[in-house]
Amino acid sequence: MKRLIHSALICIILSSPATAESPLREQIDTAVSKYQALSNESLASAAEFQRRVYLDLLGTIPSAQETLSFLDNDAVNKREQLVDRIITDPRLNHRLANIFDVMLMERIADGQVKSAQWRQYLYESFVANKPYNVLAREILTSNGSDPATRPAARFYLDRAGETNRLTRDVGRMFFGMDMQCAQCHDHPLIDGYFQRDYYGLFAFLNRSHILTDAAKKNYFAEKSVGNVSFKSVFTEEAGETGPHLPGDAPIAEPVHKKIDEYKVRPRANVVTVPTYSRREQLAETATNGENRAFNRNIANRLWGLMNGRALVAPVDLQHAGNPPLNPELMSVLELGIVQLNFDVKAFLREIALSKTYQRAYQLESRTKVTAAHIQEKLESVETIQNELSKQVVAASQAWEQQQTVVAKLDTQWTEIRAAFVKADTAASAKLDKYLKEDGSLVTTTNSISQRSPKRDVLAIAAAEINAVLKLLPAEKGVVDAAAVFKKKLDASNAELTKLEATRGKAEGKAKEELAELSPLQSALDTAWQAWEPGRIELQAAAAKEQVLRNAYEKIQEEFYAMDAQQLRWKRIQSAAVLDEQVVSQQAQVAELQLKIKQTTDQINAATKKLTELQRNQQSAKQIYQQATNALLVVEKQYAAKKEAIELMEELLVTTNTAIQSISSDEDALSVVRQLKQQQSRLGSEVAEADEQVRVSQNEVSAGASQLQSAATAVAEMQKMLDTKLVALHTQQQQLAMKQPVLMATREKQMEAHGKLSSVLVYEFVVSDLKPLTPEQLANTVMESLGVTETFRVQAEAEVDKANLLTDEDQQDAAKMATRQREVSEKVQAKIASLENEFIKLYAAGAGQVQTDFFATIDQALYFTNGSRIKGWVNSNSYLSGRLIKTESASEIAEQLYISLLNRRPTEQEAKQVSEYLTARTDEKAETVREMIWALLASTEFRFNH
Amino acid sequence: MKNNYACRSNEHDIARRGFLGTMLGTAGVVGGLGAFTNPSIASELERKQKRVVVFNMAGGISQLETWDPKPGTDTGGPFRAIPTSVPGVHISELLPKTAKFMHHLALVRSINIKENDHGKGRYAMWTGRRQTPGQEFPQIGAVMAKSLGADKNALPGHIQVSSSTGGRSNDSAYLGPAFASISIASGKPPANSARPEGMTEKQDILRNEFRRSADNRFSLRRRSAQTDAYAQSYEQAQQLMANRDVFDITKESPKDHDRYGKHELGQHSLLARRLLEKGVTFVQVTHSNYDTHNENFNFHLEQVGEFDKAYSALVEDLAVRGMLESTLIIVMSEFGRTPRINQYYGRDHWGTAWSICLGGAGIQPGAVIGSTNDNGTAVKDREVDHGHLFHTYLQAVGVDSLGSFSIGGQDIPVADPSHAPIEELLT
Repeated sequence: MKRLIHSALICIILSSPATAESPLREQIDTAVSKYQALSNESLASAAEFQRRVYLDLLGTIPSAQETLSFLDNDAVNKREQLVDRIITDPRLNHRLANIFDVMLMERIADGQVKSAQWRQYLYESFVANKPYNVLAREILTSNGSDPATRPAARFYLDRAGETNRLTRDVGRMFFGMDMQCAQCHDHPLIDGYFQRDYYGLFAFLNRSHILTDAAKKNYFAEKSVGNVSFKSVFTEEAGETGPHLPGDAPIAEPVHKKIDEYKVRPRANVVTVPTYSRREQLAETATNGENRAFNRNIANRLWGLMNGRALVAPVDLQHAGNPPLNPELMSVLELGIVQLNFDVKAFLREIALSKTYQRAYQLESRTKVTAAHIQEKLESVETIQNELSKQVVAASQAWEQQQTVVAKLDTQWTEIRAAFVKADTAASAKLDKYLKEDGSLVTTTNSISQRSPKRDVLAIAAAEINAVLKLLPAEKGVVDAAAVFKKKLDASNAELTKLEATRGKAEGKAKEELAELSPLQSALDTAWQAWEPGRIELQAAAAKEQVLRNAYEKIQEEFYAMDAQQLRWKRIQSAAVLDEQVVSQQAQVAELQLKIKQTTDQINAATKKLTELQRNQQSAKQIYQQATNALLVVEKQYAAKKEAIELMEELLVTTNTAIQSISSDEDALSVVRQLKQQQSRLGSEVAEADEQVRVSQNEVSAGASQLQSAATAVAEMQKMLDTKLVALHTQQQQLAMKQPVLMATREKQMEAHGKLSSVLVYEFVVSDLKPLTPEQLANTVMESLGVTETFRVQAEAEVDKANLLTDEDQQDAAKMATRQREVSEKVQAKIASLENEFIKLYAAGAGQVQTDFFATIDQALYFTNGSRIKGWVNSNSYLSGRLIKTESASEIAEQLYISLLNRRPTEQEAKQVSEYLTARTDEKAETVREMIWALLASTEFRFNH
Repeated sequence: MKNNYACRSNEHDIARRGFLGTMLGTAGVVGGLGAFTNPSIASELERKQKRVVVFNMAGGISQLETWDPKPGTDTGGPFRAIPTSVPGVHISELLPKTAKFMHHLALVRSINIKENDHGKGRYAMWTGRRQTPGQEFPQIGAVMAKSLGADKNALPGHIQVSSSTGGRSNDSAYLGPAFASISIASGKPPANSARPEGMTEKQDILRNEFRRSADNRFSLRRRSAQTDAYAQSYEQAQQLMANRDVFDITKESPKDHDRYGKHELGQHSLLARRLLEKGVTFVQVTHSNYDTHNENFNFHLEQVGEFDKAYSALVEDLAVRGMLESTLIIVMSEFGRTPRINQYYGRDHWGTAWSICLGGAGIQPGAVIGSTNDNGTAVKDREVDHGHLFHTYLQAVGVDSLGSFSIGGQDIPVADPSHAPIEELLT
């Protein structure tokens, strides 16, 4: 079952997008979401969208006023409204002219065609909304002789017409392939760039050359002959090729009679035009909508223009090993631009309205994803890929087989073709000779027809003066004049005679050469008859080979694309795994920390309790001590009483003995009685004391036992505390181990997320950051500060002065559009020189790739200290003047952010502005200017996001 | 017409096999992405402190009046040869001071670049490759700045001291403007490096703080290598502003001004020393103009004298200050001058058998590579050209000249892969 689903998936992937009915923007979003491992539903905010679409399409930002009116617009479809307005904004034409200028010429220095004329040509092309294929056709075919398309010839002329350079740049700019390294051998690192492909393109151009006329004006003229052969410096393999485009089989070129090969024949100072032009052929084959490389190149470049990262990057390195981020999206766009008839504006409009274009740029806005979810995705892709790799092998074998067929046929026909080539070369050489004579025939004929009227005038004058001479033979003046005229006439006649002779000779020679050409032409015809079936056969075989090669490369590309996708998903996965690890490790750490807290609490409580118990122990000790002391006292008392009673008894005994001897003396008896009484009292006192001793003894023993239990309690508590302390120590040790692990994981997580930002761009989850081009930066600075607004007001006044529209005119959409265009042209003219200042610092070198970002110290110094920026920031006519006059800090903050960043400030930002202002109330102008500068120099300003 | 582009090498073959091997080895699961990276450049760390100074003897200095004199021959001219601090090595008597420091230096006397045109010769000597249409190669300063990681410094890494007004040149080709040279007019700091009038240091600090806090907020939402680089460029600008006096040679002692000479070359050479000391990676000074089709001898007498003074002072100072081990010094031109003396007592363009002088970092002190025949009309042994020299310069400062730059998805060899360094010239 699972297997079946995957096979179905393969079919979806391999089939071209079918939903041609739906608008391109929807096809874009469908193709994107189909291959996303995670999606981001959050779109850029209105403010972000407005700034982005302005920058991408108009090359500048909205004015403060435009910003506010868009932000405060409640219409549901306000984004669509905005895009529609922008698509008809005349500034779009300037922007597109700039983009195509930089893309095609890479800022190389002016040569034969002034760059201003070239840019004007591009500008007018976009004003007329010339389809891209028509534009490309004009550029590829213009030879510079037609004033209307002469600027288009800049592409060739200002590259000095050097064939290898042109082959490279035509390949790069129009087909997205830099095949330079295939010039001397098959490309060493790129499987799909063959030497024969390089020379296939080369063959379209090698018959063309720079022709300089008498006025030193250059043209790119084309001849009718010139074949291409090449030899690898590695393998020594040699080949010959006719013209063919990447992805196309060699072209079956028409064969003309030698004599008919030129529409305009070669001669001095004349731009030749062959009957069959390879450059026309190049333009036709490339621009008819069927050459995939041509379609893909422009679709890819325009996609990159809007989205930053092109689907295939670098844009001039299209090959199967460097697949598009999303092959299906690439197909959608390739077909889309053809279906829109190469209407660049319509194409850009569709991109601008896609959800994919409107993605948010903030990284945190992406949807969270689980590692398991990605794993599932990865596994599904792996199965598809295994299937694909089998198909790659099969396709490769099929292609190889056909290559063998072609090679065999090639060998079979070698001799016959060689015979044809030989005959052709001979006939061409003869044709050249004939054309040379024919040329001089024409030149001399022209000279004669130029000179003979002069001679005729001279002859008439000479005749007249001769007539006068007959009348006045002795007049010296007349004689001299006649002599002068005769001399002049003779010279003229001599010259003409000489010319006539040259013409006669040339005519004779031309006839001769022509006569000699005739048998050569017949031989060539015969050779052609022999070769034609072979050529047809080979052509068919080669066409089949090309189809198989394309099929192979397509599958290979899908395979590699899936590879790259897997790699991206793995990156996301490893980030997700790390996210999960961090969460679980954080939980573990938190748990430990909780435990530690609990243990610490317990220890604290136990310590407190212990102190209490120790205090109890102390008091029990005191009580015991006191009891012991008391016991000693009562024991002493008892002992004393006891001694007294014993003495009393002794006394009584003694007394009794004495009484017995003295007999019953009353007195003695009373003494005895008294003594006895005393004894008895003492006896009770002893008993009492004894009792007291007993009580006291009880107290002592109670105290002792209390002391005992208190000590036990203390000991127990101490023991418990010790256990807790050990536990705490263990827990702390555990924490000490976990924390660095967590830190390390976090670091890895940060790293993985750092790498992830480009992955998320490639997955169309967040939008790309696009550094402003030099022109965009210049325009954005000027617009944000209000410089452009001043230019606009001036331009409007100028236009109105020339042609003030009546109220009625203002109802006329066409007239209003014209006015708008005129204003925009005037503004652009004012801006151009200021743009150049930025180009010098912010553009890559002439002839280098112009899209790579770089930040250098001299740029930062220009922005920090340069007089231009300072002048604009400090001028009271611009933004700072307005803000200095503004009272409320919150109003200043709002205007600052709206003007410079096209958004309202956050609370925090507004607060910062207010604090900055109040810190130096005596320096309001300075503080305002400093804040303007700081936002101009901020990354948010520098990058289109 | 065949072009000799960057890629006419056997390296390609190897790389191709390597790539295919990887693919086969993993049963076709490894993608194309890995094939675009080349780690060999990035891993060399020790080259970091290395510096390079080039003396551009513009117009083509005569080898016969400098490094390879042929006194007493039909081509030798009026000047004698003098012994140097290296036994057996003689140079022209026009270089008496330099002769004393020859034990720090080396000579290559067998250069044949097969170019006799200023533009083509200069292109060859400065890029290590022959000029070809449709391809632009970076010049030595840009290659050094890139390879030695100069973009991390606060000061520009590729400086040309010139008499013109300054600004950034277009000499870094595909390495990008970050490595293009900045021209420094003698004694004048780079453009816009002074705080604008009317702004106090405190205000500048405060506005930069405001900028930083805005950047920090943005970086929480989104951050990339590009945004970091942009923010960093303002910090570099601030550092350069703080170090502005690096460019001010009036800070050097009057004694040094005397030693180097008060002429332009002396002043520029003194500035070069100052810049090298402050860690600038690549400095070039230019001495102009040696294109002596007329009066070659008078001209060299005067001009080489200036050079001898400034150059010997720099060599001495670098040696004394212990900087010679880490600083490569190169004295070169677009070509030399003809042995044949023309009717105007001049010498003409000559790329066939001429010399350069170099020394310092990684260069064998006192070495003499190759030689010419008795009257200097041909290379006698160990013929080398611009390609070999370019490799040698790079290897001397520890850069793997056989490695590649990864540019826009393509690997481009750092130096012409059909050539190799002059091993015996390296330590």
